[in-house]
Amino acid sequence: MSDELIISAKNVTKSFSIGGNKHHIAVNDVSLDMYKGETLALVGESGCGKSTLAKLLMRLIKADSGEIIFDGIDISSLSEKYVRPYRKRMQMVFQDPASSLDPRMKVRDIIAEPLKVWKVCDSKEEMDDRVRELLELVDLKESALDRYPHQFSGGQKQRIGIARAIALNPDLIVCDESVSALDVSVQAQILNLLKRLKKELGLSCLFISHDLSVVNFIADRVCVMHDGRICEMAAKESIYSDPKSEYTKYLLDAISAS
Amino acid sequence: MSDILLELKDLKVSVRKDKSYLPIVKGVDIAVPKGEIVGLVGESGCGKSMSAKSIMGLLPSSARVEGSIFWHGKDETTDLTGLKEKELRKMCGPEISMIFQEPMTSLNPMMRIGDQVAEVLLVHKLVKNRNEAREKVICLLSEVGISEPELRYRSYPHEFSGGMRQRVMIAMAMICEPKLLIADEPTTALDVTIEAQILKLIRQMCTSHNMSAIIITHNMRVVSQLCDSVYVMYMGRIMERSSVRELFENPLHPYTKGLLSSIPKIGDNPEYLSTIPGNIPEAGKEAVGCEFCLRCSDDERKCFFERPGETKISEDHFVSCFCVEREGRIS
Amino acid sequence: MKKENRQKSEHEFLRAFLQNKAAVISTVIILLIIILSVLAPFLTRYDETGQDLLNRLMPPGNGHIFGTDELGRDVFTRVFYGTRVSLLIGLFPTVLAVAVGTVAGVCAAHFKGAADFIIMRLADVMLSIPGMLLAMVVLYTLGGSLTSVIISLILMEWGGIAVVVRSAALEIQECEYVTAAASIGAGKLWIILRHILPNLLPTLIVLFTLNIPSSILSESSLSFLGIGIQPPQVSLGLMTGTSRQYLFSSPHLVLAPAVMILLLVLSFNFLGDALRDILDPERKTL
Repeated sequence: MSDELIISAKNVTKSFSIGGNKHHIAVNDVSLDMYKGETLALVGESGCGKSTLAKLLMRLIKADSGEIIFDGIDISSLSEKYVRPYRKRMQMVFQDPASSLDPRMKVRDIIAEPLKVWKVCDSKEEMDDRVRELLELVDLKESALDRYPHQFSGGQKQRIGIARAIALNPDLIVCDESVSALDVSVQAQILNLLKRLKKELGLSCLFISHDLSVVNFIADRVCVMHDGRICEMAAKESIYSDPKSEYTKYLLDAISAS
Repeated sequence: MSDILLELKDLKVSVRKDKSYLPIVKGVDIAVPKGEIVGLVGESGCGKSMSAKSIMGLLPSSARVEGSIFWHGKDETTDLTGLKEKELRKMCGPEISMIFQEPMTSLNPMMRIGDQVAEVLLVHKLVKNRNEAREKVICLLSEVGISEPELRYRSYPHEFSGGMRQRVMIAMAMICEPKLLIADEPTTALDVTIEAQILKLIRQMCTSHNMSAIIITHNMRVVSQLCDSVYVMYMGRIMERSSVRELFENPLHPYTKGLLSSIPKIGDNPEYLSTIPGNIPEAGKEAVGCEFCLRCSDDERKCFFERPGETKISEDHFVSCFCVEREGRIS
Repeated sequence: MKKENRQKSEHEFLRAFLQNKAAVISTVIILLIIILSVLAPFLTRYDETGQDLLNRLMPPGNGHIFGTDELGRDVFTRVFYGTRVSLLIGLFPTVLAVAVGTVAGVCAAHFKGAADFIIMRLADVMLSIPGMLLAMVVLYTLGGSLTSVIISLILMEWGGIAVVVRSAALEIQECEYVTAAASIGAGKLWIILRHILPNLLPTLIVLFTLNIPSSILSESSLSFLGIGIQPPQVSLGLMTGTSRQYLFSSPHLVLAPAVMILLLVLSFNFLGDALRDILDPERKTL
């Protein structure tokens, strides 16, 4: 981990209209810094704004106010045309592996899609080699190439999603509840895979989860969100042993009740 | 008879696909004692939901059930698989009731909460009129922890949070005072803090109404917090069964061990988690030997050709695995 | 490499197609009808307009396979000449209407805001005018001919198609794989062409097969009202329309073209259903 910032949010606010003049403030004046090479976990219960914050950071939605600084540039105010080059450098792994893969595309085309969009490969052979290389990185067999997503189990689908996310060698990947829809035995495999890839490829990872025990395994730092605000942000070691905020304590109590 | 309420005997469920039947549940024996909470754990496709649905006859029409499901009622024992649709419907509610995973879709969005709960009473003609039903419903709503039940009676589902809706579902399931509650992943869609509350509520209801329950879940935490005994299922068969305490302290089947050790734990920071290798096979495949042998770290040749029988470890701990048999842990 | 891939996938499609009985049978029937109607002049010795007033309303037989009509014309000949026109009217406007409706619906769904509002209100206006009235306006201004019938059919149909396509496209847009494509950095056109259109395919096939019969039938109503295809041109719709008064005395006059319409409509429906199955990767068993 370095001291170099990769992405930071400064006083970001986002609200959604919920009919009439009422607004729901999903993310309320949030500021956070993320350093190169670290895994930062965003933890909180459903509706706390963690997914919205991730989408704001990736500029999939626009913030109402505040700045999002990626590599020294405020991307929150850029128009779609100028944001595009940054998209190449941040990728996302989604929650539901079944719905994040186009059912009408073969695995070959799914993994190659980012390569095609960015035209990074000069020839078909180069692209094919890259796809095979990615497949190997996520421990899938070559026979997977010509099959469709529905022919794979949940864990394998998530591997395909991860291969797509790392295809462009991004600096940052955002995992939005990427393991919560998986079965226990497969969840452990995917968590190990993410940790290994992060190490091998030097990725920075924003890991969104509601599960504190999963976060404990993968994160370097933990950021606990509640009602659109950050209520605690600390290194992993200290947040579990010495939670400062009431809400963190409450969350920890709930899972250690057994 | 004994204090067993429900008994599944060599239950097999297969689902038709194209022209053949795929075996989903391949012969399970489950006994639910009176007043106890039994957990059915396993990963997706292991047949836990199918087994539970077969009890209430809720399987799709393409499914075929073999074996028997004995219901030990007050004075007689009935085989639920032999009942007609109509007779089974009569049981659902007063004797057995079920709650589902999705509290969002299990409630009718166009109907007031209170009326939905009251409907169950009216369908089974357990009350004389609407007013009596209303009184009962309000009483129960407050029992499941809904504040201001008179006011909430007139609310619609969308005005409730996920946890509140699950409370309503529990009230609906409880209103006829059934002897058995089947809960299919009751807390999977809920947050951890809500999960703890709902589990506590189910526990409470079981104790205060002397009710048995079957909890179907993939979450070991739910099992440890709620159940008395637990059945671990894999690919349509039971791998291990024991009391909850015994299972967590002394897991013996390689699958159970693998499951328990692949859950990340707070306070324990390994470089990598231990995993069960391979993927969950597609449901409906029949193996000659042990269903788990392909992913097992402890397999031997025998496992591929022969299916292990149940080995008794103690009074309430049974394992189906050759390794356990070999190590001579039979007491 | 890509060429190889494409050949391979074409090969897969062909194999799946040939394995599907409904697809093969309906294709054979459709092809047979097309060939017969193209070769119609060589199949009979009668002229489609040639009147033979001495042999009016003859029952089938006696050299006239399907008998003769009220002016003594050979019904068999007329059915195949009529099929030519009806096939044109069934396929051509439907293809165009589906194309126009798809573009409009996808644009409305994708660009939202003003584009959505304008396109959808336009479609609403089209839908709120009774189709027949709309067609009559067009036909009176342009005169009754094949082209104007086609134009009026497109005008009648695109609105409904656009509404259905829009709602289907909106649903697809909500899917996570579309968000995933956006997060990769794919542009709007890329997403529409590679993700939305392929997943709209089943909807489009259904719309297409549903609209073929309705086109044929609308044409027959227009012709019956006397503003569609003008005699001496024949169409299946016109034939059923004009023979209505002889329904009880000479039922073969109505039956022959009606059976042809039925055969066409059923074949296209079966073909559509089969295509939907063949093109759906999840139903493929490999």
